[in-house]
Amino acid sequence: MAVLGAAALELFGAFARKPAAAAAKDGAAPSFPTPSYNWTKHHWAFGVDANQCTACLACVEACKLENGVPQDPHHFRTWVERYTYLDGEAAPLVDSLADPGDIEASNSRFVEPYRFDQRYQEKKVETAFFVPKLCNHCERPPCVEVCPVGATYRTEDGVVLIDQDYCIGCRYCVQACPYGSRTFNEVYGVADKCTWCYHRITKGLKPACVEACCHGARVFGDLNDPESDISQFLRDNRVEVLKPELGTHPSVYYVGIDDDVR
Amino acid sequence: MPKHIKRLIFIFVVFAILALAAKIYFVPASFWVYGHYRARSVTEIASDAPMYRGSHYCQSCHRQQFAEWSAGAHRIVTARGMRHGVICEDCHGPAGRHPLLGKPPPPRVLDTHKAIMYSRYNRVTGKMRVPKNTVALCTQCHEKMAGRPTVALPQIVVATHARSQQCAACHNPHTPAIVFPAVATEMLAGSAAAGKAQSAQCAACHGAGGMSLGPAFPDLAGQQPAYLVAALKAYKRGARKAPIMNGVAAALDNKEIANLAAYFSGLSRPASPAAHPLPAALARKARGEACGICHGEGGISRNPAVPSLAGQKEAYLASALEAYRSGTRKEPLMARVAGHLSPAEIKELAAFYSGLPWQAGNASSALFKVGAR
Ligand code: HEC
Ligand code: HEC
Ligand code: HEC
Ligand code: HEC
Ligand code: HEC
Ligand code: HEC
Repeated sequence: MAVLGAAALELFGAFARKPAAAAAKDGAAPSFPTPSYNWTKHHWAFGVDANQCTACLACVEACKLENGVPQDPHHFRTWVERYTYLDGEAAPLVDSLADPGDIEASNSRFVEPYRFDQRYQEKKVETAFFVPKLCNHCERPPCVEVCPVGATYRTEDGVVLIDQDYCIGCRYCVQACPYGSRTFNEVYGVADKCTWCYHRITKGLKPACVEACCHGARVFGDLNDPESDISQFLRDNRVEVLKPELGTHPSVYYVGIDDDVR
Repeated sequence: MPKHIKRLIFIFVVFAILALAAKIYFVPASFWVYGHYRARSVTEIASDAPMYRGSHYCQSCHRQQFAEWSAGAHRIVTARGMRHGVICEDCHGPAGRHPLLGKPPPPRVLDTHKAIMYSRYNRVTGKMRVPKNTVALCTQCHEKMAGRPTVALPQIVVATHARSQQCAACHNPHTPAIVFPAVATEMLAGSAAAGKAQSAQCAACHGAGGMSLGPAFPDLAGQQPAYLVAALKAYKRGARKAPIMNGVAAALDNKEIANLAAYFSGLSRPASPAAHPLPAALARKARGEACGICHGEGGISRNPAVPSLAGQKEAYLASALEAYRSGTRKEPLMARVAGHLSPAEIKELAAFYSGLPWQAGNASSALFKVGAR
């Protein structure tokens, strides 16, 4: 009987927790390793300038090493796509790092960095550009909607995260993402995705891919700060987002891409 | 109340208690604190240790490399939110816990899956990567490829630029620009006639027509004028050490140096001796690859700051290369090049260049951007 009583008390506690949560939402945030970090005071966003991308893939390398992403060419939290319009052709040829030719060019992919092959060297190329891709950290993320256990969520500062301890590995989210931003980590049986290096940005650092980018193709910052890199980027450029028609409201803004990039 | 209804209620109550107990047991404590997720996971994710430490992290310990890097084109510049530059860790890999002093912390272990999610600490030994294959490294960014922005990111074609050479054989990866020694233009406006009169004191060693009289004395006839000026000024300052020449040059003023350079560079050379044979592999390297890009194809320099080598005295060439290699003759470009040569290669290269025929046409070309940028 005593056990039952205790359970009943706990029960009440569980229901009573909801208003308490609302209170916590206004003031106290989760305890961050950097105590001064308050997640209600930030609104992170990302910018990509495809005109600047040199496809050096330092970002991909940095992401993998920073976050312990498997080194093989089929698991990426961020990757780069190449769009090539050959002379007189309307549709672009698209390849990415998982393309057999590019895997070949990266010869020993566990030691040397990734690279694109020179397949268009002999051809007449009208235009070509590279598009860095990553999780769009949507304001209305379909992946969060489909998660049956609440293992993925959007934080107050605008980052979509995965609780990998809680993930059951059902892969609904991998399928639900319209941008192909989620991968499945077969070793640990959990979904994996870009976190905008949440462990870095909450300490005042930039995401590893932004830090590594050698030519200003990746921009990151706080929309709440009008002088941040991203605020300047959004002011100075005509930006677009990927697949706006889906209503996901992405937080990654692109410059220098065309309608064929989706 | 009928008995069977009581039983039904009892079953419902038991079921409800069991269900709620299961919910309490299975739902983690911090669930629903902020929403339909475990609030603690936010803290867990945020508490991972960063691997990329940024270039300023390296400054305190690697002062020299940091200073070189800060002076070169790979340094970071930020303008209107756009950041250009190559950080140390783009080439050297993430610093993580470098330099490893003490034991690495235990990796974060997942609560439920009991697996090491981030196996990265296992991979980090605290040692940095020192890129050996610089062709693979540098061409990641610098190889010409359709779609790469060419403005502000200079591109090369490996097949014609570096051939089989490592990029680091000529470029300092930390200050990549090749800056040839600069010479003030007024030093190049000397009078050859006045120089001829001055040159009498040099004839004992360098010969009357600039063709020297001994294996240790370099030929001066037809040499690049800016290089002659630079060499004499280096002797005068003592930056280049050679007891005889330090004494000779100390007595010369700037005007005299300019005149002598004008005189010797204007002299023509007699036909040179027959070519020495050279192992094929090294000949290829010498002719086109390591040396030709600066010293000109066939050892006839087109760059005013770089000396011609064709037909030069073999013993002198060998001693000059040895001096660069050992650091007694200090010049950053040649120090880097000679640092990659073995004593045997030095011998063969000296023999090769001394055997190359002299050709007229020592004119400098606009191909090279001379001077500090
Ligand atoms: C606290 C001082 C310290 C800092 C900070 C530091 N290093 Fe080092 N570094 C060392 C020491 C000591 C060694 C030699 C021992 C070793 O190899 O671990 C070394 C060695 C190296 C080497 C040569 C390794 C080899 O095998 O020859 C490289 C390259 C290097 N560091 C790069 C970096 C870079 C890049 C950074 C910044 C991200 C950095 N270091 C930051 C102390 C430091
Ligand atoms: C463009 C790529 C690149 C960048 C950027 C770069 N390095 Fe290097 N670094 C190299 C290469 C290549 C070597 C190998 C030495 C050589 O061949 O000259 C090297 C050598 C070194 C060494 C000496 C290791 C040894 O054993 O000789 C240290 C220390 C070092 N770098 C530190 C740094 C630091 C600190 C920074 C940033 C301030 C930096 N590097 C930035 C490419 C780079
Ligand atoms: C991660 C990309 C990256 C790598 C790797 C890299 N570079 Fe660069 N390099 C750049 C960028 C970007 C610039 C231009 C910076 C600017 O002017 O804004 C540059 C500039 C240069 C320049 C022009 C310098 C000038 O003043 O005009 C040379 C030469 C150069 N790099 C050589 C090298 C060599 C040699 C290596 C290999 C050791 C190398 N780079 C590796 C990105 C890279
Ligand atoms: C044999 C010496 C040598 C080797 C090896 C070499 N370079 Fe160069 N490189 C030069 C010289 C000399 C220049 C300067 C030409 C000038 O200033 O016009 C230069 C210029 C450059 C530039 C700047 C071009 C520009 O338009 O400003 C880049 C980029 C470059 N090299 C990259 C590389 C890369 C990448 C490699 C390795 C694959 C490499 N170099 C190997 C000698 C060399
Ligand atoms: C007593 C002999 C002697 C006399 C006199 C002499 N030199 Fe020299 N000179 C040398 C020697 C030996 C070297 C080689 C030194 C070295 O290894 O750096 C040399 C080197 C040079 C060089 C460097 C050449 C190169 O290719 O780097 C120049 C320039 C030069 N002398 C100019 C002169 C001029 C001008 C005079 C007359 C004012 C002169 N020398 C008088 C012995 C002499
Ligand atoms: C990046 C350009 C560059 C490359 C590549 C280069 N050199 Fe040089 N070299 C120079 C410059 C600049 C000088 C003049 C240095 C000085 O003032 O001391 C020089 C000087 C020399 C001298 C001294 C000549 C004299 O008259 O004293 C010799 C010998 C020489 N180089 C040989 C070589 C050989 C052999 C190679 C190929 C393995 C080579 N160099 C590659 C730039 C270069």
